[in-house]
Amino acid sequence: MNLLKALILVLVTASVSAYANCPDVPKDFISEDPVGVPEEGASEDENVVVHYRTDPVQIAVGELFVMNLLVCAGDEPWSGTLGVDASMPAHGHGMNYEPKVSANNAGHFFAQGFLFHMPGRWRFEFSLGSEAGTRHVYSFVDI
Amino acid sequence: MARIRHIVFGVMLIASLSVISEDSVVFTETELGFIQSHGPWPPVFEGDSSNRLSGDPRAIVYGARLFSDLRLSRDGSISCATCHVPENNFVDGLSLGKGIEDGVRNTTTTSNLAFNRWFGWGGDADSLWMQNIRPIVSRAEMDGVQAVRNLHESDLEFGGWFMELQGEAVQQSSDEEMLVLVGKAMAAFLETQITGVTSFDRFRIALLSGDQRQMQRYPISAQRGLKLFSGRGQCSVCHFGPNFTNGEFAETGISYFTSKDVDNGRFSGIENVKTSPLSLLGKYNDKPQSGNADKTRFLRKRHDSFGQFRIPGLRSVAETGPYMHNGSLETLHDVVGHYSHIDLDRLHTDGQSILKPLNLNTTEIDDLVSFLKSLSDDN
Repeated sequence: MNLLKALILVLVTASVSAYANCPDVPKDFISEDPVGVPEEGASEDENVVVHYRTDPVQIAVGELFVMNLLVCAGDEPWSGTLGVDASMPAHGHGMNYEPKVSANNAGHFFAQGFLFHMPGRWRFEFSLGSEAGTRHVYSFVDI
Repeated sequence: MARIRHIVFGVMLIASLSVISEDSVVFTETELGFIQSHGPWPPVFEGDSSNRLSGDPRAIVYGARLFSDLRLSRDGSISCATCHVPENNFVDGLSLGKGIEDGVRNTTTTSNLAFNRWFGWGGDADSLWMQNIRPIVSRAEMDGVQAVRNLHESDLEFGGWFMELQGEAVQQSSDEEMLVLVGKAMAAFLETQITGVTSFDRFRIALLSGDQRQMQRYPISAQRGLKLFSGRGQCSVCHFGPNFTNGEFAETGISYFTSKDVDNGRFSGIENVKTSPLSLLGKYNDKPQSGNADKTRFLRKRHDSFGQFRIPGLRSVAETGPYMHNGSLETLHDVVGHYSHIDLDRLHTDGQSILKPLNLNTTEIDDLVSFLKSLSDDN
């Protein structure tokens, strides 16, 4: 748990400083890029970073929550599509709810319809679609 | 929250470690986390925003009278209380419910429904008031739509309640409008049916505060059962929180074949709640702007929901048998034995990988049952 927090902190710090030109990355967003995620199948594109914050920040079992996102591709906001889902890899199941993502402006997205129905480790999966194909970014959270 | 939880765990761990003796059980940090989640009891109920009658004293009285009135059924033989017997923890004690015709599912208690997210074994309803309408409409259960109308037209007291709460006489209301009001009034009544504080709750509080004297009043067998429940058994993963349910659905290796057909549980439940005009997505939701329909709006239909059934809360579970959606397990020993020797071949191959045979010995089964019995109101 502490290792995960430390990893997230490093990623936040590194990411925010590295992509300062991507507009308006709020300091309290968690940032995940493919470099920091050793999952098989993760994109090797080092320029794409997903910044997100859940609302509420502390996710509670059985409570619906939403997510604000900012996706950057290098210095530019991400112009492709974004899908978000979540699962519990250790249990082999996903959510019983299907989040919907709406695109706002300049790489900003809003996703709603999340509900984690069990305590434990959950994995967010961000699917970034573009003409080059779909790449995935993952982020883990323990509740 | 996570930081606070760590501090609380630390305090609990110290308290727990400090009472190692033959009369107490030591819990791990993970187990203590789950135990922490099982309270406080009862949680604060802030009312049902979709039901304008929630908490209304007039509706509670009216709903209680409706709940026990035989005239809600087509032949005047069945009320809600016929199956949900108040003197019997709101269950009938039968394997399968019996309405005008024989049923195919076990009758669940109507206690603690205020805290549910979904209602019925398949979650066919997303509100308590919607769920109350289902048996009245069901031809196999009460078949009582016309009977409800007749009751309100012929009985001045019921007609008066209806007029007062609906703002118009039953004669001016459609069947659907009439049933929604009746469902909401009964929901207002059922929301008040909350089980009491139990010996488990007292132990949990004592554990949190390090009150060793109070902790030792909790039977050692129940303590060992609690450790199994929240630890090796992983029961708390699904039976999570103050009401011992995460509010969702699971496949547990119980047959979904009925004497007549196949009961596919949640698979149909999702379809039904998504398409019903009575769901929270419909016009009878009294406060849709609150977001109370989001759970239904974002509900995902999954193929592995076939054969899943609602994970019941466990408070007063010792008094609500027989168990499982089809009432096929008579006693708590049978239930624990089922999970102890669960046949994984009966589960979806691509389903959840939570359930595993525990191979409990006789003492461990007794311990788990002892713990489950401590979830009954013993005041």
